[in-house]
Amino acid sequence: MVQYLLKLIVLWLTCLFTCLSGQSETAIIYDSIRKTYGHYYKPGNLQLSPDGRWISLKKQFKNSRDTLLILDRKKADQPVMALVKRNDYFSFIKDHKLLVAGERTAELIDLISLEKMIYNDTKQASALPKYHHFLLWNKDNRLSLYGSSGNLLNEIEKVTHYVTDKQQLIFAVCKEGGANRLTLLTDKKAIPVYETDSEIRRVELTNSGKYVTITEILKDQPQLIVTLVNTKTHEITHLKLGDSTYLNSVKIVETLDGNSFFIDVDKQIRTDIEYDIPDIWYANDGNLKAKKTGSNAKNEYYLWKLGMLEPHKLPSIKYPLFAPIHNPRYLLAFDAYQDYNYVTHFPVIKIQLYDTVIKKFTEIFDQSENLVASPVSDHLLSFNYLKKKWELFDIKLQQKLMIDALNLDRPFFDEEGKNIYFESKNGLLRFNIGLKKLEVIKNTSGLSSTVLNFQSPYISNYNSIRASGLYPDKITVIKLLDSINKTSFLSYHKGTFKEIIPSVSNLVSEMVLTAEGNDAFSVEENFNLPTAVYYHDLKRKKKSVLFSGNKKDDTAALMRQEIIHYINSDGKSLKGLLYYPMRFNPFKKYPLIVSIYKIQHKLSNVYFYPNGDAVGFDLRSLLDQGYFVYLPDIVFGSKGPGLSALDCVDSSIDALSSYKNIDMQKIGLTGHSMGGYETNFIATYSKLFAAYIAGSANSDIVRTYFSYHNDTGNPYFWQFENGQYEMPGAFTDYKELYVKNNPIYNVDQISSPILLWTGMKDENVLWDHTREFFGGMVRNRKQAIALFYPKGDHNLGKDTAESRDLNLRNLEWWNYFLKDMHDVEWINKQIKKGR
Amino acid sequence: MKNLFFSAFIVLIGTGAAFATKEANTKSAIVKGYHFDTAQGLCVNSQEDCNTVETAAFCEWSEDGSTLRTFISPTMCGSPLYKIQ
Repeated sequence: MVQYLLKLIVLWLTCLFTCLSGQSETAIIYDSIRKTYGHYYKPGNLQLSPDGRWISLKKQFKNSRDTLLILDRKKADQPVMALVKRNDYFSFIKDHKLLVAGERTAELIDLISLEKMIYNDTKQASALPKYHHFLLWNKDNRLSLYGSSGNLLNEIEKVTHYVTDKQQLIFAVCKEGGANRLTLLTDKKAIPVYETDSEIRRVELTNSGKYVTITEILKDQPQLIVTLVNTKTHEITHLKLGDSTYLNSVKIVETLDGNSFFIDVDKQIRTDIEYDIPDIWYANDGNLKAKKTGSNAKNEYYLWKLGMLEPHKLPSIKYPLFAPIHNPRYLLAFDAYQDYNYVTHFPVIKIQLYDTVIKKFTEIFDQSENLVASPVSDHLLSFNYLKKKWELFDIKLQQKLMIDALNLDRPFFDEEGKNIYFESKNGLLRFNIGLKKLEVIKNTSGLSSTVLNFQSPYISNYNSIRASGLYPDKITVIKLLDSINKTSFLSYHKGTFKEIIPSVSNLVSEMVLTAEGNDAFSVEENFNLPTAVYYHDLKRKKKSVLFSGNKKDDTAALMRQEIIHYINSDGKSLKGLLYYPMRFNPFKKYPLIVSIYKIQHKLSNVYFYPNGDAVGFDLRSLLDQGYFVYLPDIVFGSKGPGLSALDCVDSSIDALSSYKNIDMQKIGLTGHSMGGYETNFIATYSKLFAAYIAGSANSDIVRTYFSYHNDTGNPYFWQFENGQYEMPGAFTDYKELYVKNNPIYNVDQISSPILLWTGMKDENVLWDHTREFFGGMVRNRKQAIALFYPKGDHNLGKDTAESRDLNLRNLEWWNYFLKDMHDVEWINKQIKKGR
Repeated sequence: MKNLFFSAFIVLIGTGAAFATKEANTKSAIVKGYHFDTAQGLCVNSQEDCNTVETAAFCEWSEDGSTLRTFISPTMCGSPLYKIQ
């Protein structure tokens, strides 16, 4: 308390001095807040040593993650060491030996003796844990192989590329004169295995480690060659893949049996050069994204099986995209842009199965919004956009069935491909493929489930196509969340589920198990508990703090939060999070800041700390400055997004009517992005609020709907019809609904001052929506100020000069209208002068 | 090749309601998040899943906190993705 009073006196004196120089009182306060930003971080990114004794974590500051801490499981709250700017590489190479690299320096650290070996001028490091070796590639292009004590085993010079299986294989390309030589490096020898004078674009090792693949362009002619080098026999195979003009990259995928290769040659043909004046747009063009990128992708695909003389070029005219699957005989083929009508974020596609033996396409899925292939079996799942259900195709049986349940989320094939596990908001579900039976896993009903670790081997870069399955040799961790934000964890291994962590009210952001599954480490926080690391002895069912995290935050434990329950006009039960001002005095009234988005009650156990927030909403500092802060839930219903937000916010404020410590005359409303749109809209109707702040906000949703969205390279229909705005359909069919929910049409009705802000590089919500809404207020003689940040994107960055400016101005705005601190020149220019 | 057989076998369970809201259906919009690897000059799969539908937070790569994006081409990442909530 004495400290606090002293702090106040210092602040007051500083204020007296600097107020004379024209700075606002709030600016002085903000300056003291800003100086504390560097004190706060969250620990995260846990990694374990092979024996589970050593744990590394990153200090996650708002704008950097460059400090690594190493913890010893046996010594709580006594980090073994801190490593700064060693972020480029990190790996345990033996239980207590650690290799780190960053800023051109590598370090080999013995965690018991704390001795370090430092290697300067390192541009890349790799661990080879099988033999406890490691590799360093230095600035003079020397590649050195070391033993676990840091002893040099072997090295080679003039290295331009190297690949390793991270176990024992090391292949390096050395360039000498005009020749590129592929060399096998061992601890005793350097064995040349292949030499070429072609330009080498890329060198990779296949997943099995059986082949090195080299992408080459012939010297003096634009011809693409892929060279395969057998890592055991050193046998060389050249695959001629034609003209290399427009070549962007080559992706080589080895089939699981290791007997054939799928080769994807990606070419980017510049459209902006070939068709510049005029740029012609066609309404039947399903690939308007090319207008943004300035190029059209053209993929050529080849299949090559061991023993074939030439690779087989796939027929990609009708279906220009292919993806390999588990069964090497078949490929997926599709046209992502045919008939794309832009009402979904990614095209809803027809999927063909291409039989490489009889060279025939068969359509297996229509209306596919998401495709998941089994990494281990002949099964494919497709999410049907129209039916909102998953369809399962069995390649062997050539049969398809629909899994007749709604709201099944991410699927994962089990390790044998016999079952599919689905995440859902109502438990973890298992679909037995043989029995065609879907059931909820015991003790998960009513809980929202998330699978934390899974394998997803490459099949395609197309965003909505993937392979996904549970690991056969690792324990899978499943997170379960109940309706009051309590979390518990299950483990899964070879068909057996176990509860490993019982229900906890903290937010658990990470949960890592040791390989045997006897111990676990978690990262947890709560609204009044700084983020900390916990050790779980799963056998003894004991939990202890391993690292308390941010000890400098000595007031977090004093934070007070209440969960407010209310019902909107559609009868839907909702929640709001009410945070009390710090040093709350029950005999005083306080102003209230309401921040809106959509559902927010899931933030109830998030630890907030002072920071130069990227969207200018620093909850913790507002509490420190004597505000109540309220985060009410908003759900959209048949009234449309704006009117629904208005309804939910009205109901949420009504629910506070008995809170006598809240000054109902001093309530502010704020939101960013969707929350900004809602704020704009509510401002055109409500009389509850004394002031508003809206950031990066749409003001004219009709214009937005018809706009070309630069961020995604698509028209923006999808965001309304199948995205965040949750409209029931197209503008054409729901004109009245769109019009009624459009803030700009009622801008004349705004009755309280509004501060608008935007980043002028924002391609998500175009920045000129802010200028347009501002224009509406100019025309209608309203009290408004707009802030345009030239470097800002959809947010202003974490603790940047612009975000700090916004945080200051936001605080000045609230203090001006909710705490009558009127010594702010930039606000007075508008408010005192008026209109 | 056999004709596709559309199974009449239907399993009805309690999780599916007759009416699915827009919000409930947007989970299918989960996609892989990519980050641009400047050392390789490639748009690389982060192995982390993200939502295409905007939520309050960007989908961040756990390694360095950068925003994950859609894939456009092997050498170009696209628009930002959002955190699954």
